[in-house]
Amino acid sequence: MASKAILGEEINKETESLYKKEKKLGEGTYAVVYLGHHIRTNRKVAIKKIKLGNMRSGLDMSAIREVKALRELRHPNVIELIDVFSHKTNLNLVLEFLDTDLENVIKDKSLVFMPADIKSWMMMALRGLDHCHKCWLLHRDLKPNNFLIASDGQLKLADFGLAREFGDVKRAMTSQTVTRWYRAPELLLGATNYTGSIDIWAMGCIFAELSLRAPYLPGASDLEQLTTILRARGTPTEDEWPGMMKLPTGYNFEKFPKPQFSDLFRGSSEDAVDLMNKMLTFNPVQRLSAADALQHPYFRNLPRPTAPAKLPRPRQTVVDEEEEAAADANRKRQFQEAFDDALSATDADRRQAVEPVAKKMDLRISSPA
Amino acid sequence: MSVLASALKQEIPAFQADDDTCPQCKSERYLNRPMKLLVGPCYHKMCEQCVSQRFDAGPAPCPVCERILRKAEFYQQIFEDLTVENEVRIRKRMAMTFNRRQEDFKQLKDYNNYLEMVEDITLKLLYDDDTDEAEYMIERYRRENSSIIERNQSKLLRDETIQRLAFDQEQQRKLQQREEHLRLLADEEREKADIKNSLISALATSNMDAKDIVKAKMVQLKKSSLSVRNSLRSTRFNVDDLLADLDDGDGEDEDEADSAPFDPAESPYEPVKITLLDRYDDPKNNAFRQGGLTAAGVTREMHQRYLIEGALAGLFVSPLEEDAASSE
Repeated sequence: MASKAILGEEINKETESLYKKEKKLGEGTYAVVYLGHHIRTNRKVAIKKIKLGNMRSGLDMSAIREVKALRELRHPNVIELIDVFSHKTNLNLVLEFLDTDLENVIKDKSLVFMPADIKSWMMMALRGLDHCHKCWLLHRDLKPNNFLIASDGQLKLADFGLAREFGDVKRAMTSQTVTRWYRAPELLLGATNYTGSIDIWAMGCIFAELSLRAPYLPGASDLEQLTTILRARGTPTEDEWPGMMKLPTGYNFEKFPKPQFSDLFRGSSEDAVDLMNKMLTFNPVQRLSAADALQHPYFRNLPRPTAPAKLPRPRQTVVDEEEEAAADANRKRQFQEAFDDALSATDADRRQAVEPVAKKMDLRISSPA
Repeated sequence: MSVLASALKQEIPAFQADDDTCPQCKSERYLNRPMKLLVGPCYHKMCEQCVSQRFDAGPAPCPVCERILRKAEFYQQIFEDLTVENEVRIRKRMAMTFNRRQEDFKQLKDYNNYLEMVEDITLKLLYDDDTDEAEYMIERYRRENSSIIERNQSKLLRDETIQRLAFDQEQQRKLQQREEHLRLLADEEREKADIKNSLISALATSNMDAKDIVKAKMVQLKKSSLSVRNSLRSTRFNVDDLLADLDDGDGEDEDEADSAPFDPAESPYEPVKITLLDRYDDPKNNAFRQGGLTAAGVTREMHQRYLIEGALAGLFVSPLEEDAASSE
């Protein structure tokens, strides 16, 4: 047993020594992301350090989910988990470095999308999602900012913190999942067992969002989300969605008429609107699967999807910020050195003069030697 | 190209806001839905009724700035921001006179100088400094270059006509494609009905075994619908070819990659080849008895596929290959 534990530690150390952390990129509720590189190959990586808090509840559930899901998946349109290692009590995920996401692209109003660009993004997203579903994994948090974009334009599915296996009818799942605007109607009605069709609904919303350049179903609260959906899509009849009243919180919905979808999506072609409607069908059984969606004539009809490298990309403001931060850090280091020199002197007068400045600049004050 | 053409054809709707109010008669859009707000050359708004009241009898002063205006000078606003509206109108006017193109110049530098001059005049008009000088310069340019202006105007007209024709052609083609499609579908329906009728009469009159007759007819039915479907598919491809030809004709650069065959559902993995039986008996599983599961998208077929694939999935992975890939 003991030798096994030691071997494990050695392997862990070896893995850790392969990568070098550089600077912080961002911070979320349960993780900090650093930019780093593989020392030997110089490949850029993102290192996601999972915060363990005070270890009261053990390892964060989403960290376990993420590692579990990503270990299973390897696909050009899914983010690659390169390595995992622990450092002291922290868990570190070494992920492929990707510089921007679909939300940035949608929000950058200086970019103009052609129909072929949207087709290309949808195709890549559906390929990645199809792979997840073929492996019986639900993503459960699809939204534009979880689709990252690589430097070569490839769209990659990321953030598997809510992912889980599906297909087993005996294990209940939570209906409180997926970001509200992309949540499928069966989840809003409290279904505790569902399938890949919830991810397809979210994809349909993203498809609409790419065409409109604005969120398609922006409900103000969880309660209002269903009303927003019914208003935008028309209330389904019992024929269109059999059994909807049998869902846990099914009720007699307010009746809304079906609007003309082609009026709202004027810029989209007929086949695009058709695919969108089939992905946003109320009845989850009739909603297209990712594989079926890829077989839809939309993808084969002209225009051809844009080559990933030619897709529009937001201007690289992120890099500028990074450079600025690096310059800041550099400046601070220079000051620190100067202060260290000054502080190392035992001369009390000099110390007194320097200390308040050091405090103000948030520098380390070393005690006199 | 088609986008441009359709933009040319479609009328741009006038700008309207829900809280529009005519500054003269104070009538609101809320009470008077069809109210049309017009803007004069001095960029003061007025509703259509006020305009006709004030200017029907001839030129009259603007109630705000007292400039003398005519009814014909009022137009419907297109942009929400009137400064944008102003700039667009000025630029439109400038483009009518200053319509030289790059190919009219021998050197790029000359063209750039020309553009610089146009921009200078435009800015003078836009920011109201030296409007008189700007007007004088425009007039002088018009006199000196009247032949070039005329020539380029006719060029522009020709280009627009070509675009419009191309757009019309495309519409025509789409219509034809649709009619063809509908015709084939109708044919299929008719053929199906024919076979059905002949089946009934055969059953009524023939002495052969009923089962054999039905079988023979079913084969015939399948064949006919297959042939229709095939011809449908071939028309689809033809249309695609035509569209591709059109794009080529426009001189747009077609990429080599664009003509290569591609599969939207491309995947680095072979699909798992499992054929499910129609029905598996699973007496212990009563989850589907209550209903409600199917409403959430969970079907018996999917659940069974999950169980069977789970049981068999490992059989299709060769561990040696995996090792070779990861050691690379």
